[in-house]
Amino acid sequence: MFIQIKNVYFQYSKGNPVIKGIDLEIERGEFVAIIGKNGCGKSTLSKLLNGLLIPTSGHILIDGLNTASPSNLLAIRKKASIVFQNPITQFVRTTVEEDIAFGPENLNVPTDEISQLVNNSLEFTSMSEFRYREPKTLSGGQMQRTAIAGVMAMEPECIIFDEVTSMLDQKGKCEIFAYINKLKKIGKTIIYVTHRIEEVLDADRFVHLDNGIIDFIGTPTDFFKLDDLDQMGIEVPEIVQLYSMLYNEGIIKQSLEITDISRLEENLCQLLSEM
Amino acid sequence: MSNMFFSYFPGKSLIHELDPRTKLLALFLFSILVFASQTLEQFLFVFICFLFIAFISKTKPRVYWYSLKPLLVFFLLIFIMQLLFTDGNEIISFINTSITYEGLYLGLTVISRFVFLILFATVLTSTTRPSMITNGIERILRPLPLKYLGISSHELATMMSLSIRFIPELFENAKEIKDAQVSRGMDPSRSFLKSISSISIPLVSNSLNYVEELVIAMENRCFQGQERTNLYELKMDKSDWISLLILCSLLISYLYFT
Repeated sequence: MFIQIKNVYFQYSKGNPVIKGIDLEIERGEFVAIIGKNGCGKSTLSKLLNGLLIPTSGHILIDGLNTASPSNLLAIRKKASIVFQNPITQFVRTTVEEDIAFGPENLNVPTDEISQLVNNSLEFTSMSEFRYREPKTLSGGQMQRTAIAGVMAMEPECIIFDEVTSMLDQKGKCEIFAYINKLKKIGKTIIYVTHRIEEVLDADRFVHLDNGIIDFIGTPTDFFKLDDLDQMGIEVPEIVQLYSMLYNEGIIKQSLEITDISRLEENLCQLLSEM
Repeated sequence: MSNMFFSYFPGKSLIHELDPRTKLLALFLFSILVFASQTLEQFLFVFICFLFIAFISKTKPRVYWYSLKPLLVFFLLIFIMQLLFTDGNEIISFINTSITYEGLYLGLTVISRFVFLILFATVLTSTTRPSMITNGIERILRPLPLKYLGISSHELATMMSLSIRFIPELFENAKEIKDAQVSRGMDPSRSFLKSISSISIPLVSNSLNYVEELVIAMENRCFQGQERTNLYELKMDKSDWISLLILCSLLISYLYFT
């Protein structure tokens, strides 16, 4: 198991517990979506995963390394790295290439290897032409791509996306999803934290967090079969709503996997045209 | 245009190619030259030096103007002070004060000193990327026993580059806050003091939040504050040593003959 979360509780120095007893295991190469309302503890959980926050009780193992031990932190952050919500505040340096080099520089990678890593990351995120640009001259999507490149340059096995698209326009969002799919294809473990379910329909597993407790772990298809989605405050994508209505009314008898909205649309159209 | 102040302008010239350490030391040597100059004839020599450097750096004249422009009021103020409060041979006299030849001369030399310091600094900043300047400063400071002060040259360099990165961001934020407050009825022209407090308080609180997010982002990317490597390793070339040698000999002979 790559990530093991065992009975983790967490509370900030003042205030109520935010995470109230979580157990979760994530395998290498898995695409896990952590979903839930604002303030349910999603972001806190993502920060717990690479030791930016330390559990108040319980423990988190990343590839067997406990996040609670300070001597493990560097190795853990090299294995699991976060891309944050705000593209501006995570841009540490003055140009794109320097910002990407920031991680490897901190890891004391030799100079010629750093430039290799930077080149690879720039190429991966198609940011090569923006190499010498300053952050203020970039669009939100380009800045988030730089952030992904900056994390990629440290060659982590797992990348955690913490509401990365919430400050982007539609074009920026599409850009980011394209690169997340690319990361998935090269075998990275992806943990995607969001409150927008339509963004993560192709995830392997959904983890629904409510008020610091996990109340659902399973495939997206199983998730949409739950009866109390309304009470959970989940906004089901329209196409999924349409499909479940048709299915529940018995108009469609075939059960479809909900992994991809466009494929679901296609399948629905086909089924309806056959009737 | 305000963001052109001491900006970097990419280009290809001998000065652009030099190691940032050479340029920093050169700026230091030129500052000594400027401070050692007393008479207008000497400043003429400094001006010739500057013209030569400016010529080989291929920097456009307007770049120097961008650096000088925000400071013009300051220069004027100093000039007037020197003009009015220096004793000597009168040119014209007013009710209580008089303008003197000595005052005029002193005013001109004092201003020349500031102007040349800024012009030489502009050559450095317009031909060197900010990150390379901090890189150079870090390498110059590295041999110093800073660890006894509980700090490392790498930390100092990081602090410098963060300030360079985030000062424009701070201005931007102040502007946004001002717009937000004006749209809710604040009138800066009517109650200036009140508007300062209504801009600065949110600005400070925003900055603190900003810094917190930044620190987390830096930690996420394994920042430790200790020894770190660099994307660009600095290397002193033959041209660096030759330039420094020429400069040093120029300065020594200048100090010797004046």
